Amino acid sequence: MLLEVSGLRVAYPARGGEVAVVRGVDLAVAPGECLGIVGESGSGKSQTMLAILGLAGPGARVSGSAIFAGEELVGMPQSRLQGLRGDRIGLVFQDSITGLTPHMRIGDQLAEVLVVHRGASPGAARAEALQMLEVLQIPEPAYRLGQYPHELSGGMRQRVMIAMALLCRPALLIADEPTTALDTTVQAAILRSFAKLKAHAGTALVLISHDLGVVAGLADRVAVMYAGRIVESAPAEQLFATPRHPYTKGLLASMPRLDGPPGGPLPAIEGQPPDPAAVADTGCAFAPRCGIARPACMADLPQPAAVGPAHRVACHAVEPA
Amino acid sequence: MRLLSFILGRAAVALLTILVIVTAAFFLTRLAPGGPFDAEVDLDPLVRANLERTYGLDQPIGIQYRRYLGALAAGDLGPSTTYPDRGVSELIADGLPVSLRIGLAALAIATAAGMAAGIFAARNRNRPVDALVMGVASLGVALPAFVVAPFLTLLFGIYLSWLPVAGWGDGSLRHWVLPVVSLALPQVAAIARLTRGAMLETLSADFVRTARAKGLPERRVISAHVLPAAVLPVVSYLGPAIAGVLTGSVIVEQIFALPGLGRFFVQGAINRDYGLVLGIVILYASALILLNLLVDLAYGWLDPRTRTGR
Repeated sequence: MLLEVSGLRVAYPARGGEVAVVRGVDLAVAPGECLGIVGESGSGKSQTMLAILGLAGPGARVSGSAIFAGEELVGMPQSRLQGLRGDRIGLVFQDSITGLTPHMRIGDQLAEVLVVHRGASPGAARAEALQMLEVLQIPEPAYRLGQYPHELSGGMRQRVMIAMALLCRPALLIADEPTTALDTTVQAAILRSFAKLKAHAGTALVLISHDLGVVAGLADRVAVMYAGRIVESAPAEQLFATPRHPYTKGLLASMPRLDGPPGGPLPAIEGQPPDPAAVADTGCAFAPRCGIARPACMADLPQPAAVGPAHRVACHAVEPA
Repeated sequence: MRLLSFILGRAAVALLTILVIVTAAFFLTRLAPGGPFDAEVDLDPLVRANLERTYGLDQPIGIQYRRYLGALAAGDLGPSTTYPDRGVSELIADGLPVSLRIGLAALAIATAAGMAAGIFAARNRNRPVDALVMGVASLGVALPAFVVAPFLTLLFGIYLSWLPVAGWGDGSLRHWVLPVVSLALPQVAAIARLTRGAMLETLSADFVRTARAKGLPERRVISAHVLPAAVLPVVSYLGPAIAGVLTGSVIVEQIFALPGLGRFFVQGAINRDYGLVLGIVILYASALILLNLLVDLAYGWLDPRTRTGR
């Protein structure tokens, strides 16, 4: 395994104790594999990845284990994490207008990655940056290097950010909602870039999204998160064909489908995702919104159990295989 | 080209602004009760009429105004009634170096010390040192120069006898310290508070997270990504800070008996020396406008988003 996370917990101090946003997450990514993590906002999917890279917010308490290429990341000093970030592990965030430094030229923002990690000369770094922009099919790449972020379109900014994460040829790329703010056509183009990257460079990919459609086309395996836990994980095809957890079923049912019956409202999951401060460790966090909840769901925390090859579900209503 | 036309446009507006200021100051000083020759001792009416004729003060005010503008256009600031043997330009040339040195030193110290304190406080957010620095800064904002200056004089000049109480002497550094510190202190405090706030806001920006995700060392994150963005509010504040130092210098030069413009200004105002007051008003206004233009240019240089066009 390239990355193996087990029992990861992330909590933030709050009045009268702490609030856990990630509550014991286990996941693994093999070299060259694409893992999709889906869930609503606040389900802890971004926090999981930020925490193992030492990028969780100030005051975060991170425990558990995350082993990347044989090295434990939890508790690793920042200086060593800095050496990994941007070099062995690339990160791409959702591009809001603020994702790139507004007062720095694109070329400088790209080049500094190579200067810091590889000790490249500014000239050599620029040449490599230009090459990477070409690979990602950014129009007029040489001209872009001298521009500022506000002079680029949203799609171009996102590609610049991806280029930045790929400059050092990382073994693992973590993309957090990489296409959320973009037009569908741009979205598709960026997802194609990821697919190419996976096929040609063998880069492992963790794709975090609230959009099942985005994950469906790219992921080999999918983990579904709810209230800080993984409730179901399975090979992608299997998850989409035979979802077992009521939450996963609800998510899939609420997706619009071209081959579905026309007209009528889309089914929605009743209620709201829980406030992390209100989630207890007794009982299933989804039970209050679940159509098939039984008394045991409120009392006991369901543990993930195998229901098929590489298919695990944490639900009392699902019989283990 | 774009920059040049911007500067020319601003220069045109500046000229108009100065004309308005000159006009207002011209009529306001003459509106104030009393005149240049109303000393304690009553002058012989004949002598007074003679003096008024010499300075053109016997003419209707409209003509006086026109004459003043005419001379001003030719670069002549006219005579001073307080120092009959020296023109206003000469007096300004005398006082300017002192005021300039003190003012610029105060601004430089205010910017450097204020930003350093603000960055320090932001990086130690919510720790006791942060509270201490910000507490002192609040005090600094609240205390005007005319309170700080006598206090400093008392402490360092009289009790400790480290520094001269007042005067310019030979213009050596010892004579600068207290005036510059009194002038800079309120601005140090204001800039420290601004810097801290801007730093904290920028530190939580998405692009800072991106910079960290790139694995940049923290030093580089701060120096290349955070500071240039956090410095913008401070640069904007430099305009008001310059105005603050200018007005402060009038008081501080008076307190420390420094032969600068501020003292001439106060003397001129008390003696109803119209020419002297107007001359210094024009100088202050021009300095303020020029420095604000520089601040705006610096802002455009620091924030590419404010530059227009390609």
